[in-house]
Amino acid sequence: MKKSVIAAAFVAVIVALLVAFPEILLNPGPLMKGHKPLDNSCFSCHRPFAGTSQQCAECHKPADIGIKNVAGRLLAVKSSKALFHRALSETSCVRCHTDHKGRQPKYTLKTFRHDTLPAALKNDCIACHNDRKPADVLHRTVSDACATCHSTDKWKSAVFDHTRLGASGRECITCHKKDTPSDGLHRQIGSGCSSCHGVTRWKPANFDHSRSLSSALKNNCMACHADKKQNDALHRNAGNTCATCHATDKWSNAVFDHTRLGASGRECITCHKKDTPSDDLHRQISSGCSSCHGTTRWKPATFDHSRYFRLDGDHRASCSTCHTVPGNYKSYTCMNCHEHSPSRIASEHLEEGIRNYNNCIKCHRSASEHGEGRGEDD
Amino acid sequence: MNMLNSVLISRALPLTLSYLLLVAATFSVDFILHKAGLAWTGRYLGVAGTLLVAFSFGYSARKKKLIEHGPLKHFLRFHCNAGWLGTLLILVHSGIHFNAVLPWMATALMMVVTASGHVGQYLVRRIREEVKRKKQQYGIAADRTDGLEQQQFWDSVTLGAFEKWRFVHMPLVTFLVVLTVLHVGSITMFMNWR
Repeated sequence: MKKSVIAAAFVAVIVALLVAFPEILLNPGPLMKGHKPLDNSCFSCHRPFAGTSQQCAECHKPADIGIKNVAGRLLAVKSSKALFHRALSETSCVRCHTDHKGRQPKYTLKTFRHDTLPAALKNDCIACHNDRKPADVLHRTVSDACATCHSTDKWKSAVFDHTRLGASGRECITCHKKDTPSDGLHRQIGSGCSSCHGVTRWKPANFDHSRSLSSALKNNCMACHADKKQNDALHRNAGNTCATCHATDKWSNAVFDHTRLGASGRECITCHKKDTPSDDLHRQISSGCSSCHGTTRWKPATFDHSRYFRLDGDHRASCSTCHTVPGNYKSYTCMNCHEHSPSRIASEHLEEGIRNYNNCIKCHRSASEHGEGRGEDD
Repeated sequence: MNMLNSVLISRALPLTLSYLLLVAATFSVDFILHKAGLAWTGRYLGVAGTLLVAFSFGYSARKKKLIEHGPLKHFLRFHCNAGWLGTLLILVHSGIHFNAVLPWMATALMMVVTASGHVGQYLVRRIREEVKRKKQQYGIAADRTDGLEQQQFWDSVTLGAFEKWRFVHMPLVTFLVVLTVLHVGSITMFMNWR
């Protein structure tokens, strides 16, 4: 059999099947519930090579949409939202509607594009969206030109241009009463929101203590910030003049002037007990922090070993060479090297008639051969 | 026989991978288009894919001397590559979801034809190697590209497995063309042009 005959036979079979079973071979999906009677009548909606845009309006008269059904009977409940169809072209249905997506009508709606609306309707948002207009003060006072603040893709977030209120004389509180916090500060401030807040968002606010507060309140930090006061010894003794140490922009980075304690007789440890390290050195030094530390920061500390014994020459040794009792830096020995053997030390001191020579630093403050006097801790 | 030099590994495996890659690439491209919000381009990918496959038939035209100039091996390479890419575009166009049966049949047959094409590609490569081997056996320089190689090649392809393959492949291609024309025709008849 010739190839062309086989091909022709195949074409004939397929075309016959297409004609006999178009709903199986050609139908891309079930029609929506309302169009079910047209399931097998493709050409009810489709014109050959011309699509469907002409035929919808034969049943769905734009002027009747939302008022009557396709049979011409009045709808029990009129849908005001659908009335905008009367302003649309009879051939524009397919811009928003489709079919063959299953029986559920909700699947046959494409994304609604406002730019397909005629100009008159495009600028009359309220004609369709009257039920969406909030009844608050702001929306009662603005016009129906929703697009001034809202976009067409969603209602929120809207952008309200406060400069449009320019000369209206309205105060912020007219619209934002419910936005006012109920804390002490805002109760005192009243309605001058703009002295601290911008028009795009509430936070961050810029509260200027020097400008916004009365002189009486300005010096009474506790009137507003009582809840911020720390309950430690320092703050209990510091009084309510927070501004002595704290700035008005933030609480942290406070600067405490220790010279103010001058004649108070308070020891560092009164306030800084919890700051004391628990190592052996600090356990031995119960107070007198200032002998090593400054008042602005703990580190670097300045521990001067030379006050007891100068570590120079051969004496640049590790701590444990002389401080042999662990954790006790008051205890020391000089007998841990060849130079200072007990027999030699004893011999040299006895030769000079010195019998009490066990506390070396009493006489020797450095590697110098001769004694330099009594130490500070004597 | 060294396993790596076996016909199965050196010829059949790359073509099998090529076919599997076609399926994997379809899923990947479809996923990317959906993620990028470009799924609507699928309709046009169908047109592009169909045109690519149609152009790939230039190989048949060259063989039947409807096109008189150009090295046949270039036409064959274009036939394979354009066929592969066209199939990919049409598969993406199908969106991996089928509604009406006619385009479904066309897509299924296209995959069968593409698989058959891969088998043909395997046979051509094997025949080429056979020709080379025989040329060496008869002492003919392997890099000569005069009419003798062409003659030997076509003498070979008219025999044996290749001829049997063509007996299956060509009717499948014909049926695919018929289904494609009917699909394009029905879409053209029913679609909204605006």
